[in-house]
Amino acid sequence: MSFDSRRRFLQTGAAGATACVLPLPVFAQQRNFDPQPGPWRSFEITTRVEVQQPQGATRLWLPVPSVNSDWQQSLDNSWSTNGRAQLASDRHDGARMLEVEFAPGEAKPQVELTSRVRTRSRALDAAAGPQARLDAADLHYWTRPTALLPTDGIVRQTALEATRGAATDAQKVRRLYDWVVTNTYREPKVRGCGEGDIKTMLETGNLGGKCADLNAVFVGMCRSLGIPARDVYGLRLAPSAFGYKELGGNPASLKGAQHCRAEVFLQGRGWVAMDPADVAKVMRLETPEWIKTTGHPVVAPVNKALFGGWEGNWVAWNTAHDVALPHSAGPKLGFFMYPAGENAQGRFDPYAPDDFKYQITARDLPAGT
Amino acid sequence: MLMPWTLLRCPLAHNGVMQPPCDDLMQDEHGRARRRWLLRAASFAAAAGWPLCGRAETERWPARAAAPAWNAADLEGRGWDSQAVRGRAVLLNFWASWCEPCRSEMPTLQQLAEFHGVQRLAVLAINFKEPQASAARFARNTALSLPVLLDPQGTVAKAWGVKVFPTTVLIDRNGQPRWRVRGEMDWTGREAQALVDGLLA
Repeated sequence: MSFDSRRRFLQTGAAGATACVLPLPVFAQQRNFDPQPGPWRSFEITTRVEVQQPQGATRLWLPVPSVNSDWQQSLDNSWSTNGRAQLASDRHDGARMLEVEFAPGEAKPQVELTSRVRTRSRALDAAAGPQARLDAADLHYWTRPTALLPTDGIVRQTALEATRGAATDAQKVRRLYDWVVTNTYREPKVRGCGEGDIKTMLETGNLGGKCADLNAVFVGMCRSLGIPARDVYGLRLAPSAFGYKELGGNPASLKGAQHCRAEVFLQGRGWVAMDPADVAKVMRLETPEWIKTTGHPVVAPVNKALFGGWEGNWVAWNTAHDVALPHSAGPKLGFFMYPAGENAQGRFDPYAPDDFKYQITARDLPAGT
Repeated sequence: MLMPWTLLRCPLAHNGVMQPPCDDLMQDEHGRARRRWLLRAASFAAAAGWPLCGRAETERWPARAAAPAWNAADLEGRGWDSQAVRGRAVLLNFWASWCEPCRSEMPTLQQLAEFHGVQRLAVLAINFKEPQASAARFARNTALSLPVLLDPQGTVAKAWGVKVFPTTVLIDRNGQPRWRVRGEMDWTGREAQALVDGLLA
């Protein structure tokens, strides 16, 4: 029932002797999600890392905000440590990081890193980027396959099927966005996980939970069709202002709040925000029931707004792939979104920080900071 | 808008392995012809002994393909290779502690090993690309008594063509691989029993 007709009903109803109270479940569930670019919001992000049982020399690498755009300004970084630290960068994608080296004798290697950043929400209508075209080199760069984003085989096949009949890039992106949102409901064909490459995700049909990076599937499929796209790796910082518990982080404990978003480049619009993975997350987890349709009142506003926008309660670290950590003896990282560390025995496991303990917190800074 | 359900849920042919359909959702104008094809494919698969879509995907190892050479050290530093398990049936299980289906099936692998005994069946848990400490911690926390082998660079997984975890390769007493199982399986169940009995025959 629309707002106007409800008002009319109540007005006529009040004229009667008894007033009936009618439950309006749809209205009660109506949610709002409409991030718009507004004033800048300033955050201070603090990462504390402790190596529990050091064996020999230890090296750590911590991501710092490396993106500067009309929706994020990466400001300064400061740190304290009982090791030797310096800011460093991945050579190819400009992913900046704090690199810390600890001597073999150091019994309790630790570092505390504080980064300041300003963020803003994004919305589709507002996205009329100054850069309406990509030159050939950039076009090639943002459609290239990477170790975790192959763009041939089942990736391209799936993308072609999903976009059949779509003519323009914008239409194809819409289809791929819808595909990602819809296909996280499938029971996996095979109960197995890949290492994170999207080909294995598509082969096993395992597109849910920790085994899958849905926005990477989205980016890979866009690239396979020649549409420039990239992952943006970052961290949620604060609750959602729209009350969606799945779309925010607890600023007192952000160590599990890493989240990867996506962008596509559309002619005449520039880089446009995309986050179909978060739509899928809301459908799966926001309410006790697993919502299966994007038309549901809890989902519909999110499904609409995350095509072209997102909320500024998240910081972007970088858009890097195949990241070589400086002075590391180990292999490249598919992406750099978590603190990384290693000693002579090998890399620490960032997903299960037991001997590699870290915590991340954030706080809003006063306006104008 | 029509979504390509069958492609995404059960691609008909992938990597040369035909997979029968889980269900029949084709509703486009080519649906009928496709359905006939699918039925033929399904009956072929059934004849070949392949199960329908479920938790694990079982594929026959090509009869003429030999086992790849491999070697790996366990948590105690002892070396293992095909010679070390000669004369026994072998299950090579590729796993990682970040892989939930791997963790989930591990107890059933252990039960399978205990049921048959080490003299008849060697079940080796090959950990993919994790530091020794992580693999050791997992084994300790779960009281895993299977030999845990380390594959820190992923070379053993690569040699066996393993990209999905868990994957288990079943090898007979003559060292000839017979089956590849991709995905989580209940190793105490009937399908597993049939596969393993075939190795021991």
